Amino acid sequence: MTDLSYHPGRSHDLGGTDGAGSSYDECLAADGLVRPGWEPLVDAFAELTDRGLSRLEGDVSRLLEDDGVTYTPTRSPLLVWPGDLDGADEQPLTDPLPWELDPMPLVLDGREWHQLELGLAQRAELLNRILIDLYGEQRLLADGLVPALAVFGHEEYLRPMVGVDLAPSAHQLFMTGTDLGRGRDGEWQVLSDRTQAPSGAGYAMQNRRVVSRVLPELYHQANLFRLTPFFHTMRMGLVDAAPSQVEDPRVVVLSPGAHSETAFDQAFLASLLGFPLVEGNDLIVRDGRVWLQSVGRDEPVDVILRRVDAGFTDPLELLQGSRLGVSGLTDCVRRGTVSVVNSLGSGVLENPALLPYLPELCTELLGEELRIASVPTLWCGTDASRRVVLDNLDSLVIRSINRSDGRSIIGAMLPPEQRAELIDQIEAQPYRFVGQELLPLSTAPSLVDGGQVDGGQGGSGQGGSGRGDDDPSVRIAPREIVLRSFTIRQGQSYVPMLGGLAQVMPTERDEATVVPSQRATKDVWVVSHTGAPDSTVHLSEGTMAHPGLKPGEAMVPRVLDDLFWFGRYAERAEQLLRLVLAVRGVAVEQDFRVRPGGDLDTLLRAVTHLSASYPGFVSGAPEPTAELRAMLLDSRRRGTVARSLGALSYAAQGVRDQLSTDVWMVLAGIDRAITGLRAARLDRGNQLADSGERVLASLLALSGITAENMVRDSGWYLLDAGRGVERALQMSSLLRHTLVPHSGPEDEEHIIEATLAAAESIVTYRRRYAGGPRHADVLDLLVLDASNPRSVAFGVRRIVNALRAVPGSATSRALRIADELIDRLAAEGTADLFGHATTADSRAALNDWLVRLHDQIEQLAQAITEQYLQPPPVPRPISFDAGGEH
Amino acid sequence: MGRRYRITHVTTYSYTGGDVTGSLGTFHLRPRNLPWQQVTEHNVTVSPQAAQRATRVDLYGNSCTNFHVVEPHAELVITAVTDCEVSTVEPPPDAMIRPWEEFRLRRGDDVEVEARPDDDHGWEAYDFLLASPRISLPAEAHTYAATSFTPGRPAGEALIDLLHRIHDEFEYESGSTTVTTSVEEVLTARHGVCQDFAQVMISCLRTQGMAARYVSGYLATVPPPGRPRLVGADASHAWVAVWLPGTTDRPGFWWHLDPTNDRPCDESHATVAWGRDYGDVAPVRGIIWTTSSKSSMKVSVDMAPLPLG
Repeated sequence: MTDLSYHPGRSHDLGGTDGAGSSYDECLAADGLVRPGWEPLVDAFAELTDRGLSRLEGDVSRLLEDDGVTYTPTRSPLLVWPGDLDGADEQPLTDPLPWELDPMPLVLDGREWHQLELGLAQRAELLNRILIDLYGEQRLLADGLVPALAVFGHEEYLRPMVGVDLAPSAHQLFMTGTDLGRGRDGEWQVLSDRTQAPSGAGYAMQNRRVVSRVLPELYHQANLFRLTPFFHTMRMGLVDAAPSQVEDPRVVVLSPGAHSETAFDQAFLASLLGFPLVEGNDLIVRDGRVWLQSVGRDEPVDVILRRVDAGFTDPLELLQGSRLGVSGLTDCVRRGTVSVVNSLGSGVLENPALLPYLPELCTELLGEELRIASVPTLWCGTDASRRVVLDNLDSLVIRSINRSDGRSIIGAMLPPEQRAELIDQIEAQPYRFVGQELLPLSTAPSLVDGGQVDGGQGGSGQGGSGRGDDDPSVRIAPREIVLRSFTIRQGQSYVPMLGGLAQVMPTERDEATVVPSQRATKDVWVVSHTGAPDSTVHLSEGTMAHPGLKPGEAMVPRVLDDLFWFGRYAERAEQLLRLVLAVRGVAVEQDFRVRPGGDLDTLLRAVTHLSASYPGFVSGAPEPTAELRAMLLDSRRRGTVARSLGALSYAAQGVRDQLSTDVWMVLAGIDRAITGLRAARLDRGNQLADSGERVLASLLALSGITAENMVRDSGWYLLDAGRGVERALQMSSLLRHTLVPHSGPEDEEHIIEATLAAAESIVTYRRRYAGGPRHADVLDLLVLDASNPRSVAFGVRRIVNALRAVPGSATSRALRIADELIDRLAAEGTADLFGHATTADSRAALNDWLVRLHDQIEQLAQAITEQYLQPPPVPRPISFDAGGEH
Repeated sequence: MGRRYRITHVTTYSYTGGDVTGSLGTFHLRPRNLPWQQVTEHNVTVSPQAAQRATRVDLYGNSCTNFHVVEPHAELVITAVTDCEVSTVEPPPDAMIRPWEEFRLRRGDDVEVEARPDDDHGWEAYDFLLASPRISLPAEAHTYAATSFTPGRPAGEALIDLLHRIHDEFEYESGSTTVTTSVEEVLTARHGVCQDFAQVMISCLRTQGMAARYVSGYLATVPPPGRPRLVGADASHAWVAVWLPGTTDRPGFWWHLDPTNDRPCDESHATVAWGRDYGDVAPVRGIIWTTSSKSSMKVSVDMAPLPLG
């Protein structure tokens, strides 16, 4: 409605939902004026054509893809409030989904923000005081200021952590997340508090980086507060959190795993702060303290930034059977040898049953009025509130106080029988439930799908206002938003992030639409009205220098294993790809006619052997183009290029904090090439070659990045050893399946040429050996010649050099095997071994020799795995065969 | 006038097919000092010796020790020896005559009512009113308990009736359950060991709105003259304590009842620890690192009478 009066003729609906009495509009005031800070955005977006909008959205997706930004939903999100970003225990429901970012930021005026900021800092301090009391003196419980049942009934009240002997600082709240919604009156209200292990700060920074790149002018002119100082504060705070006697504290970020819900956020944060990202099994308790089990030696850990839900952090004293924790961690906290932030048990503050008591607690504990109200909440644990909730079920959202009980329920949407069931549950265990008012959220202009009906809360009947004539694929429409903000403890108080993570709410609040999905997010711009807010604008966002600090290195077996396989899969994909491209070349020349025992037949069989994707060409006769295509694309079949690339990407996710961001750009490029090829269904091979070469170029770029951009630490050496292993293995296998089979002389010549092409050695060969292909020369070049980077000997030397650089390798069995192999290869003479490789006997001998070589390399790989990559043993119950007490 | 005992509690873990290279555990083995129980000697040895050992008092006032054995071993032996003197406490007389409903904990609004000046710790009892990790509050438990807790019945009578019924209607059967058997399963199968009897009774009491806790301890092996030998001897034992909230005339009182032996606890019962359920007070639990393929656990308890000091 209002938007058109400002930008007549534009099809974009920059504000307004449904007129009078509607929700608060973040962008347009009731008088139709654009709110402070929004003008440049409104003008710029008004200028954009539909195509421009689509392009903007495409740019955002591509940048996010290039950075590998993902989110893995683990269960149905809450129906109404967001905040399901946290959580560690759930099984993922899907593969990682691309992160969704709406390029149009949420703009908040600096003056208004200042009020909010005071409120957030106050709230954090209030929660901090409550936390310290609940795990310390418990005066609030004894005096009835907090109902004991509300606390005792909450799953995050961790009884082993209660004890007055712990220093209060051990329970100090380090970081908070707060979900805010803005009501019709323009006042922000707290929807929920996030104190367990708040997630999203990393995503917020990632959003900022992307938006600053797609809207560079707006970004630079916006007088924007930066996010980076928040992370500096966080870093300093983590260092300061160390037990007092520690000189140069070691900080780690404890993650539930590289494939958990907010893995990106965790890894991103860890790299930004310069601390290693570790998992529970990387840590061990010894001598009453926590150690990081690194290759060569264990390192003491002083501070743990916890992203695992507290209950899962110690299978000894907290949830038994958890595989995400460190046995004995609780006791180390008790001894004061390690600081865990947020403290174990901080999740008790997420309990919505506390909300009704906060105003009184604020007066009591801080002597101040609570600055930001919480969404009106009734705890059913009191008779009066329970009656109100049951009488008003239709207008309230019913939430369990415990998050593990599942999502919120909108009373009005329940079918009768479920409604009766809910009432029974509330009557039986009233302390477990709260009723909350359904806050009409504010709206902000957002990029939405053009095809989508602009429905939502009050949007019905708005037909036309948001649509252009040709129904563009992307348009702008108001969408409800929720703001997640963050604070961090600094000294004696809390400092909020000058920005945050806004989430765009789905338009349909219908249970049927709640599928595992995520919501689009927005960057949050806090805009100063007095000019550039700080002097650090020349530094790009998210760039943090850590002078005098060594980069976070977590050379734990899990990380080394992922890097080793990163190297192996990259090499495996490249080798097969080269062979497929070489064989396709031969096939095209021969018009795809396969003669049994002929050159093409042998080469196609070699493809199947090399990829171990049987039956393939070995015991079947698939259509060559389709099968070669499948060798590249079919990720369901083992051994294919797509499969190796998938595994490569999986391994990369596991060590995200160790890799340069360029790696994700390359992987995204590979994905795009593969997707493009998949889309071309009727390809006779040209596109196969095109796409294959693009993938190959990407793989070469990947080699370049790992060679040029990675620090030479144990991880890099294992990655390089992985490449060496795979190259040697693939080469010995390739030679066995191309040189041993007998064919006519001309056929063999073609086979050798294709083999040399696949081995990227044809130019060298021609330069070095005159007079046509000979088996002995090929073997010399591709097996024994230690100066040829493609040879087996070179691969083995590469392994030796890598292993020598890893600490603790002097007496390594792997190194011994590799050294022996080098000696053997150096001692062999090609002429002796296969000078006459044309007889059946010599072919058999060559076959045996190559099989033995392959086996030895396999042994070497096995020895490397045993020595460097074996995860520490998994702890088990003291009496694992069960048995009773009596 | 009580009785004195020397209690020897030995827990042995044996492993075959590979040593244990690390054993990290926690134990609740020190009997509590209580108005009716005094511990005069107490010593726990861990063999092989623990490299780290730290004792603390947990949330419920129990003594609790964490230990870490790093010496490789195929057998871990934890031996607790305690000398203590135990006497019998009688429940407050008013509990025997006032209706049981008056002993329920109020929910919500009435929390303040419960925290009276003469009963500072009344609020703490709420921790024992809710379902806990090992004790659910199924409808079956409520139904079962309701037969005893009829409206207006004197609390003492209702409690003793429930004690009788569990003893009579559930069969004591060694090895029929494990430490993870649920209340529902026991209610259906109607058999179990002392731990199951205790947990069923606690569940029943909580469904009626009464706070009840799980107590671990020992039962004297030598019966008093003229009394039969009691079941549950020669092992650690478990029973129930029910909360009788304070009045203006007296403080609150935890009444200890032994459903396995159908009677209130007396000087034959030595109390070690209490909590919401077995999980809070397991005598020994731990985590090990091992390649061993098989483990076994053996427990022996000897409760020998000592002359009164």
